[in-house]
Amino acid sequence: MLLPPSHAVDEGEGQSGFWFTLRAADDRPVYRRVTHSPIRRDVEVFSPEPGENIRRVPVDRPSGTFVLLVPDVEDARVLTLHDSAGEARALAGPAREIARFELRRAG
Amino acid sequence: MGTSDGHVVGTTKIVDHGSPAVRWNVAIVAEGYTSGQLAQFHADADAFVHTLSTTPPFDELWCGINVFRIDVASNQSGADDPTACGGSGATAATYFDARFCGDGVTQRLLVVDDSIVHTVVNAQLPQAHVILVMVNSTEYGGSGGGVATFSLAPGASDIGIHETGHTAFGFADEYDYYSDCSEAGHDHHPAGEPAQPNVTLDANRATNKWRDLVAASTAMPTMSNPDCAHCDRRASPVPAGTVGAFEGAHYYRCGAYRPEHNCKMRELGQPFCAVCRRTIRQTLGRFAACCTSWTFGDNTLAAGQSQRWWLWWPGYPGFEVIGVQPGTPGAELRFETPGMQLNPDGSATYFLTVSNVGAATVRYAFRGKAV
Repeated sequence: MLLPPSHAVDEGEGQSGFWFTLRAADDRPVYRRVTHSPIRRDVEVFSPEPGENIRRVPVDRPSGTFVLLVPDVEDARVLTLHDSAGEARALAGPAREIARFELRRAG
Repeated sequence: MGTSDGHVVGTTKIVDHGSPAVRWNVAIVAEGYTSGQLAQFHADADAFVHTLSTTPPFDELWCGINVFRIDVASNQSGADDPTACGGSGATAATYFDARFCGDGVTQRLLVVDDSIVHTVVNAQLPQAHVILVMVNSTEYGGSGGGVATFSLAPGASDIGIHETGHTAFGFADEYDYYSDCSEAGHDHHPAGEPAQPNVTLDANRATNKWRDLVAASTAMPTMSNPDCAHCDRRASPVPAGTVGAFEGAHYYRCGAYRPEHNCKMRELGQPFCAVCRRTIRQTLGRFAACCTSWTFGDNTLAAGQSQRWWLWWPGYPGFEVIGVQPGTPGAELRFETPGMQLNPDGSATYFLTVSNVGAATVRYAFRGKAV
């Protein structure tokens, strides 16, 4: 399966937003994609009228599952997630690492 | 409520541009259709496909896109419509538990059980890049997240395309409020340059992230909000389609900029701005590589070497480099975002530098086009 190309792996420091990174055993980034945060702290509500027809409403108790498609990079050993979202309604500044997963090759 | 209220019928490829292994795959999932209504779902899915295929820049990348229809029959038709939000009070036993008033307050917040959707799509189409759920209701509604959900109301399909901008291309919202323009705490954007391609804190012509699309004659910033306590709803000072830096974006009235006065990531019913269109092309270029023509550059480049291209264009139409396509498997090419100079005769010259950072000589091609 073909996946979208990597964003610049050497960027992100000091930036806000959400991205996931595949890293080699020495923690060197080998693939990075910026995406909208899949953690549902709020949802968009839409209106058919022209003008301000999109707005956000916070989710009381964020929960659920999300899926990230990552490429099968030969030397990738770790998946990290960075996120800067704080409380709903407000951004919390630069992103920080919020999760780290070791990857195991099947078989 | 849930999977006991229906069954998965199967998956049909309704736009076939090749193997899902090498194409960008869109999954359209039925919700709130009974077995007897699946023919209607087929027509509804076809209508959405037409909308997507005529939305720039998907129209020019269409040959790289597959669309799959996942038929799911529910026991009952429609979606729950609670009276708590002013709805009819109707309930419907459906497979993905679709309901308006998803937060108990907002009538148009139409949601489904995302985890069930993911389970079904993973089983039916594990190569899906984006998932859209069509709910069989003519009442306007929808929501975003990992799964884009929208009803059959006129214009609601644009919800699916806006949400695809988030999930597939990482776009930020370009509107300058969170819930509404009167909300406190959204006057100035906090520190931290957004990683997303279509919003920025940087309106400096020399360093702005989409500066290569900004004409020398366009002021930077192009439009500033004189009153950060209120949303700026003035008309654009420049013609529609002009790329610059327009203050008010990413839920804040000041301190954050968007590339154009309007965009689909700011308001439904609008086209994607030039920065979003370029990002979509860059993302989908590898899926559509076989069906695009690479017309402006084709050369061989030794390891460690760089080449610079000059492209002249009469008038000032703007320019986008859509991508660099290495002609050699495993090649490692990098290209600098093209610079631009406006010539005295009104023509424009663009610059593109391609560098081979790999260990082998590569053959490559690239193309560009007027915006």
